[in-house]
Amino acid sequence: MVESQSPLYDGFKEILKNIDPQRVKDVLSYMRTEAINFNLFKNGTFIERKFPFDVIPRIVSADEFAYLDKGIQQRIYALNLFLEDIYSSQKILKDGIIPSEFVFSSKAFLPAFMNTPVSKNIRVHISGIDLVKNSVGDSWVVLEDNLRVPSGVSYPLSLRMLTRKVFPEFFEKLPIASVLDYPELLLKTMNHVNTGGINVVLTPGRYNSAFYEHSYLAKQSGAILATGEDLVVEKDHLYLKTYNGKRAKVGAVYRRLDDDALDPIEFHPDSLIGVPNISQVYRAGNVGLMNSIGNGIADDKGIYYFVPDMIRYYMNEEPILQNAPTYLAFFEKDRQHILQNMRTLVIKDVAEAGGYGVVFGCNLTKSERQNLKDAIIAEPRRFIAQEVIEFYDIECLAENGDFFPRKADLRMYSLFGEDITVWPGGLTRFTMDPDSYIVNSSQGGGFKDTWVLKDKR
Amino acid sequence: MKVWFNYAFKLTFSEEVSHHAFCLRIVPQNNSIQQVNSWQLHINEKRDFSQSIDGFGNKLIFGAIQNPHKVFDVRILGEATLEAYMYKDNESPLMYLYPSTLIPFSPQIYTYLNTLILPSDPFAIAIFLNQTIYNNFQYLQGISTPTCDTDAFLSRRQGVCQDFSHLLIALLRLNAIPARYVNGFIDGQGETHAWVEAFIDGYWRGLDPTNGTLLYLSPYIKVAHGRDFFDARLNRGIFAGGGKQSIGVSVTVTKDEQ
Repeated sequence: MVESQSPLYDGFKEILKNIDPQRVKDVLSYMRTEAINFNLFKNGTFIERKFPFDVIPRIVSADEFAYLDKGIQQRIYALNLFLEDIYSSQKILKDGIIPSEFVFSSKAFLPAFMNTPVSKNIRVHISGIDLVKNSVGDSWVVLEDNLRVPSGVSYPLSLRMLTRKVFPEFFEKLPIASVLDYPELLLKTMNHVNTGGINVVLTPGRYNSAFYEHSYLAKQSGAILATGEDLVVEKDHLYLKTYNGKRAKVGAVYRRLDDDALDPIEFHPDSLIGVPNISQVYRAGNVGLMNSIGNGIADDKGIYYFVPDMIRYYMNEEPILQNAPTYLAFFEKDRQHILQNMRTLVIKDVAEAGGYGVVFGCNLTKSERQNLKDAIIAEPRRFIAQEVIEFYDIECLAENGDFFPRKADLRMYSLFGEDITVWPGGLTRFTMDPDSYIVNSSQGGGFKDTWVLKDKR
Repeated sequence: MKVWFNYAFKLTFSEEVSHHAFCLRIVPQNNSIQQVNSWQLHINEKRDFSQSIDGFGNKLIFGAIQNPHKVFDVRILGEATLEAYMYKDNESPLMYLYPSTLIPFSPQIYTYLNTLILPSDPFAIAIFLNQTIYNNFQYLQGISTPTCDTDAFLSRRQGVCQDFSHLLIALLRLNAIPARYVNGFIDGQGETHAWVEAFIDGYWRGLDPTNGTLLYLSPYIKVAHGRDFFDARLNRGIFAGGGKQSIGVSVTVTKDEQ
């Protein structure tokens, strides 16, 4: 089913119809020369290619956004409490809400950071919640929480700025919520957890797939863009080395490095992009590190299953947003269901990310299915299975003016500072292949902007 | 029991190094059976370092030497009071039931475990496994590296205290007995030592598979623990330059013989 054929898109289509097709064509070819680079990391090598985009946005109504806003705030609040709990008293495990095996056997749990308090008790500063809108029941479903270093916010942001310039009529006629304050929100979040000093965006460097975004966000928010080499730990504080030889104390780091790469002394000794002993500055509470170390345990695909339970446990509320129906191979009953209904399920390896390790049961040959069954029986903790969700397509616009539908998801970003702000926009990703359900940019998809409509006054 | 410890670690570089950042776990832990009464640490004869504590409760000493140097010389001496090796702490023992980086639950380890006929009581299992490893594996220095896992040790059957400890931990965990890796100082070894703590009947007990002993009133000074060697590693550093390195370590532990 195609969502963009609903009345919600009427206003957009009406305006588009009245634009001279030649102008649309010119704009599209102009926009394609505007490089939005996205480097793909595949099979151990970098491939530089453009992240394709489409001009037809996803449109979210004011009511829908109000619902998503509430639901995401609730979810992030609970996930943050979960991390605070897991890295201190672990009440949720002691009370048997989550089997402790799910936490203790996960590589994403970092016990070396137990009992490390974080600035303002915030661990999930910047998050990206991946949702799809189910065409069955017309309802939103959360597929994944990204609480480590979610990327991608600059894509819809850049596309928005471009679209405003080349197609101003949409913004004059439709009540579209502005997203341009993202860098300002980021700055507020950094300032909120800053322990005294300057704000820094820590990038792995230009070869990272999201370097464009790091430099963009640093520039727009007024933070300093730094690589590991630009930072140094002295005593138990972090400093930026400046060109005049002086050192500037750093109070907040928006790090765009995984935990593994952050500190070659604490984590991988081979990492050349981290900052030696930055973990000790963090342990001493002398820097606001965004996001916190060890967040991976909360966005583990196995832990995902328990997020609704976390909301009930920590907040005593019913979850507003729904998870996709999920089965944990760890539980005997679920495992039997998975093994017997493999054809209708999508099976995910909890250790993989970015659309890797996701298998549709219906696409497997008989022997592949058997191999997967054996793997599930051997290591049940590693696998979850979900019902395939028939989420909506949104149309894309070809240069000749034709519309073609593609499956599309939505990553919504939120920032946790003084309070939780859900950004009224988002990254809508679509599949290149019309038969695919996997929208991850690392799997060759494209993206769209997300327009949140304000209440009509 | 009162004990005195003296640990020296010296790295000599053939070329000068600079921007040398380090993090050391060399100050013995305080816990309910081990009270560190005093300690003094010098790094290149200075007391220029910072302190922290990791999530396992291990003390961390960290810092950096920016200027070029050819020697990294760490010395700590101190005094501790030890009690019988049987205690509780605040950590969840359940954390120590699962495979970790150097302790995979591999087909090899299951195969080995299946060759053993185990008693049924957890304490008896621990004693039996500790003795079995001591009897069937050979202590030999110079063939294992810090990143050797239990599979490598199982096929070689020779190794050092780290390998012995990892294997015992693996077998204990596979028998649902929480087990953690311990680094520390004992006398006579000339180097730091590794042993195992197993959680049995509500207490952490000390087992040394390299020597086939159950620790009780033993002059074993615990420095750090974790799921395996990686969590408890004594020293880590990173620096620019350096050429070849040579390492010299010496440890002495003396006890009050009253």
